[in-house]
Amino acid sequence: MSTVEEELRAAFQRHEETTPDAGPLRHRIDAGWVRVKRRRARRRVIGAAAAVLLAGLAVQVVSSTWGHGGQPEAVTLDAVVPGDGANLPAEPVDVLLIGADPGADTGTPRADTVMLLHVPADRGAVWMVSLPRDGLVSTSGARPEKLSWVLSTGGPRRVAKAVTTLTGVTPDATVVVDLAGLRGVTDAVGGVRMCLDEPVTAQFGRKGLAKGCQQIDGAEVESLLRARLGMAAGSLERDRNGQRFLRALTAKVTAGGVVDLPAAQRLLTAAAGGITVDGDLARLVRVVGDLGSPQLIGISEPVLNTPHPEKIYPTVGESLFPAIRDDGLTAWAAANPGYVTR
Amino acid sequence: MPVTYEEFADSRLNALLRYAVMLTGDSDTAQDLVQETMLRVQLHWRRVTHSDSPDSYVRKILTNQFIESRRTSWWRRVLLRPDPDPVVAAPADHAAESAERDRVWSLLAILPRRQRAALVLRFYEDLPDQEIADILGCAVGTVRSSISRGLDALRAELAEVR
Repeated sequence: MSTVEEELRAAFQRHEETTPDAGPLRHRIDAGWVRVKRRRARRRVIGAAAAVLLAGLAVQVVSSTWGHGGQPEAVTLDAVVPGDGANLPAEPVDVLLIGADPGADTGTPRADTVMLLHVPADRGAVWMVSLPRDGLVSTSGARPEKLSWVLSTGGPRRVAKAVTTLTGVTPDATVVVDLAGLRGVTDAVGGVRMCLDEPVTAQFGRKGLAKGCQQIDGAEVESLLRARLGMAAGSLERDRNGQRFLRALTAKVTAGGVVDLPAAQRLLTAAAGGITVDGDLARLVRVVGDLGSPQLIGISEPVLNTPHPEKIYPTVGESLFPAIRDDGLTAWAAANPGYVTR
Repeated sequence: MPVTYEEFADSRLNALLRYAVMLTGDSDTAQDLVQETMLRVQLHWRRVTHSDSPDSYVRKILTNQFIESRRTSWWRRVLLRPDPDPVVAAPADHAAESAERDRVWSLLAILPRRQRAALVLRFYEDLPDQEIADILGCAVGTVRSSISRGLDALRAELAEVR
């Protein structure tokens, strides 16, 4: 009797001979690739964006779409502003910003960018902590889910819950922005000026953008905020572009000093419903009032965790998340400069 | 030496398909596995070309996908049924003898994925322990124990049948 090893070798040998030719498979793969490209082109909306100020300014656009279960309800700015608690000592505020692809064609909204905005008690800056959207998060489901997909399965509330489970931070509000809203806002402020570390290649019918500093108008917002392929850090660089865009937009909006009511209303109209807010609106508005013209500081993973893209801040999460909770990001950033962009 | 995806597919697809057949034991499933793998390969082509050996990198992707695919139920049905069907006869005239010989092939389906992959890499691809460990992403010692456990399991099953 031959040994198992010999039998195995012989069996593999026999089945090698019966393996079909790969020609037809090659065609299947090519056809599949065309489908994949189409699907991804649709999905690439990001929204990295506008939020802190939009959280404040845009609050009135649509409130409570998901929040109170009913129809979106327009809230006017003066209905929100009056401040009960306006004299209370300032507390840190956390806002979850979701850049969404509304999924008009597929019917399932997805989050392309998820960012935790932290406004410290001293109001000295706004921290933008990007959470890689490919990361796995625990939800009520049996298995961890990709962060980008939680939006479609459970709405912004469930995204917020997943982020709380991950980081221990409970956002005071959740803001969802989509690309159309950002395009409108960008045009309404006459475009923003910002600098790119890497060029954006023209793809999927969108025009490319050069490396370096430039004017970004509404029409370019999509190229900027969706591009991920072709950049060394892929979706992480896209997250950073989202941070840069938000920073540039904030600078533009607050350049003239205090944002007055008519200006705010113009922006909101321009956003045309592309922004939804769930949370404590009055508090957000107060925070924006405190901020003046804030410095926005970005935190993101510098390079892809190649073997484990599913892990969110695998090495620094242990210190980063408590730093957000305990309002200690300034010290954390000093200790982890590689993660910080200003 | 960065090759294009097209060149890579032209030269390597047949070998990958054969490897996938050995892993899955079924040429339809193997084709699905290779297709899925090659789509990923195209998505991450830059990373593939920048790796030390595109070929083993791709094999690693395919192997991981095979090992992790236990989550998908249809594979479970195809591969983990308790009584492996006699496999479609290999081109041999002596059908009975070939069914008997192919018992070891059918029995591969009862092994855990990782063990099966280790056996295929050793006895079909003839790779040394170190390369198998790289592909499976585990230690060399784990490779050795996977192989020997896999062989033990096959031996035990064969002894029972005979």
